[in-house]
Amino acid sequence: MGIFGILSLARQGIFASQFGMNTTSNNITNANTPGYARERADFVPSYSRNTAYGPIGGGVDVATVERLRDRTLDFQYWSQHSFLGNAESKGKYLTQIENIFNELNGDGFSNALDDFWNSWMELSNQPADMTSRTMVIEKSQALVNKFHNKSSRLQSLSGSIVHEINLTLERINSLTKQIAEVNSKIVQTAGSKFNNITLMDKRDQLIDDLSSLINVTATDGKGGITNVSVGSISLVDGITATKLGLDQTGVKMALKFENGNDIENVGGKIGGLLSIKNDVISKMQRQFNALAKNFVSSVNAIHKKYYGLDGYNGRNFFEPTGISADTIALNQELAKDPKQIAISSDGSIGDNSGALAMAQLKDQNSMNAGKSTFSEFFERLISEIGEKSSENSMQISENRTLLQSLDNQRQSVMGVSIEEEMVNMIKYQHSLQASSKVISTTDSMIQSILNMVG
Amino acid sequence: MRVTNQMMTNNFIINLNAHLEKMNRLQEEISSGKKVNRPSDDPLSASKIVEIEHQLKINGQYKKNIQNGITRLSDTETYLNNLQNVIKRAKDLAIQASNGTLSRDDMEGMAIEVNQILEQTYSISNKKSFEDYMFAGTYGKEPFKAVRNGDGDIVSVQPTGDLSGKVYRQANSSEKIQVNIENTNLFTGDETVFSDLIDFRDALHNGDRDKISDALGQLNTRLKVIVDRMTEVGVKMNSLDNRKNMLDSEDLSLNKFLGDFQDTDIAQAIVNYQQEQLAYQAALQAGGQLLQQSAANFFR
Repeated sequence: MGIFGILSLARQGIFASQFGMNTTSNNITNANTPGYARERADFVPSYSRNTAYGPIGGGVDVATVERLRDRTLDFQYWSQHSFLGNAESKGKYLTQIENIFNELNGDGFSNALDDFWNSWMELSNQPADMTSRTMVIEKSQALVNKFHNKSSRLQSLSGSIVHEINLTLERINSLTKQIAEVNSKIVQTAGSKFNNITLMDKRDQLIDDLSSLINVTATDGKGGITNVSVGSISLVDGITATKLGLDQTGVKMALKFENGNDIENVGGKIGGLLSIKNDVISKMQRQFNALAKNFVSSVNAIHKKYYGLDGYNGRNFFEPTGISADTIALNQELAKDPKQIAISSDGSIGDNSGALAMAQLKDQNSMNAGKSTFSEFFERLISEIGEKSSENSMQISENRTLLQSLDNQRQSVMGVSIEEEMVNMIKYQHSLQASSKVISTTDSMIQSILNMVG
Repeated sequence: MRVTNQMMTNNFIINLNAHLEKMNRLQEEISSGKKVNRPSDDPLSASKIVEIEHQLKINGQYKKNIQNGITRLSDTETYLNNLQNVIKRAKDLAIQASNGTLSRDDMEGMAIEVNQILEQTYSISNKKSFEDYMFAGTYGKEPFKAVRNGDGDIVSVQPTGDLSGKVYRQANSSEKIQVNIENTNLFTGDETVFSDLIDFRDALHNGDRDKISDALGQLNTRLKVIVDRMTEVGVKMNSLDNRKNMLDSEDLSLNKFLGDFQDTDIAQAIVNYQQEQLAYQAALQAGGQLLQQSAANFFR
């Protein structure tokens, strides 16, 4: 053991301090980088040599740079993330549906329906009066417009959902492809010591993103790769990704694999979008159309029985065929000639019995197989949306709290703490200073020896 | 637990947002005056509100119907009153004429007055309330047509169509109330005000005292019929009034319910808002101080 060996040890000390400083600096630099897991340089003592006097230390080695993550928390976070993504995407569209059918601002569909009934009663007060007749036409047209307006807004909402489904699907496919690519790079660099921790962070960040879009399960494979699957079926298997497609052939829109099989219960944002499209909007459209259909046939059935001012009966009030909420229309002949509005039971122009009968329709249970009136049916329709939306809001806040606490736990392990890094910095600073001191002291020792010789 | 800087900022932001969300909601409640602004705010109340507003709106129309019926009946009452007055005059004339002291000339003069009364009666029978012939039932057109002789005197008055139809107004969801009166024995049938007056006038022309005293009896009968009809009108107006009062008190309680479901308790909301504001300010202050703290401030 010579004196120069001490210099070599001190050099290793300086090197180790620099390395530690480097890690600290990298942590501070990435303190706010999403998905970055803090790194720690693990030092180990170099093997020692045995001398006649006993073992002598061999300096220090950097064993590894570790990234600090809790895998269990990652897996929990990913599975919880899909619930929030699911509820949030539903919430966005439920709010929009609520806005379409907001009856609380006094200008809604049920208001127009009431105007319609009231116009018939007003006509019953003045059966031959042309102003009252024109009013019936106007209020009916306003109601028809409401049918059209609500229906077309639902239609266009459905369109934007399909658009968003497609975008989300593209994003899912792109994410799984990237995950597979990163996995493959990780495999390639598996032999080297440090390189792949950045890649792993990147991959995990991709899974963070993916997990809100679709309900995935992740499992770690050999060599640092992570596999991703939906249910029991694999989306990313090592270095290969499976592409998902959209099955639009059935009544309900669904996701499918490349082999053509549909996937059930996909969860996440895309699952939420699909369920709004398939279950909520389609159901609303169906029920709204049923309302239009029953309404037209009930009104026509009464109208046909009575005589107009011109002495004819048997006429329709609404166009009788091909009725849906977006095609409902007044009998055009009648709309142009209000005299044709038929309310007289015997042709005498002072008889209002048809108008009274028409207004009575409002209290008849014409919907739901004779269980509810038109108004009740419609109110039920919108209160269902309200209930869904309010329940969903609660789910959003519950899921958000859960996810937040999981994320806090995750951050607690992987997040960078500036305070901690500051302390580390001082630690490395001092150890470097000490190593330098060792060198300068050793130097003066060598000087002393050399002087002895001189 | 190890606490990191990102955790602290994240938590801080999430808590601030929660306060802002609550404040936003309270502000909406205060500024709109409504605690339910969309169905999801409170689905149960929302559907009650829509239901009550529907009921109020329909009730409003029932009240219009009732008002229309009341106006029509009160017009009817006015003209029945006029009719009663002119027929009373005719009756007075008949009493004078049957005293047996009148000369033929006096009787001729009296006949002219009775003829005027007949014309007035004819005019009353064709009166309208709004655009509606009051005594036409559901017929809808001018109900009576006078047949005149060469001198232009009315010899008979005939209905122009079926005047027996009943006219109804919808007073509430289950009741229709008739708002016209029975024409029989007044303007239509074998004995009418017209036939009474025509017979009386002709009896005066002819100086036929037997017929004159017959006419007196007829006119007495007619006056009774008129009084009966006026009573009928009164009863109908009364029952319309009752329905209206029922609707008014129903609306009163509906409005109260609506307020309960819909209106913001402003005082309560403002107190809540202030509390929330206080919490928000405290959070900001704490965050502002805490987030600025760093070991970097103390190390050199």
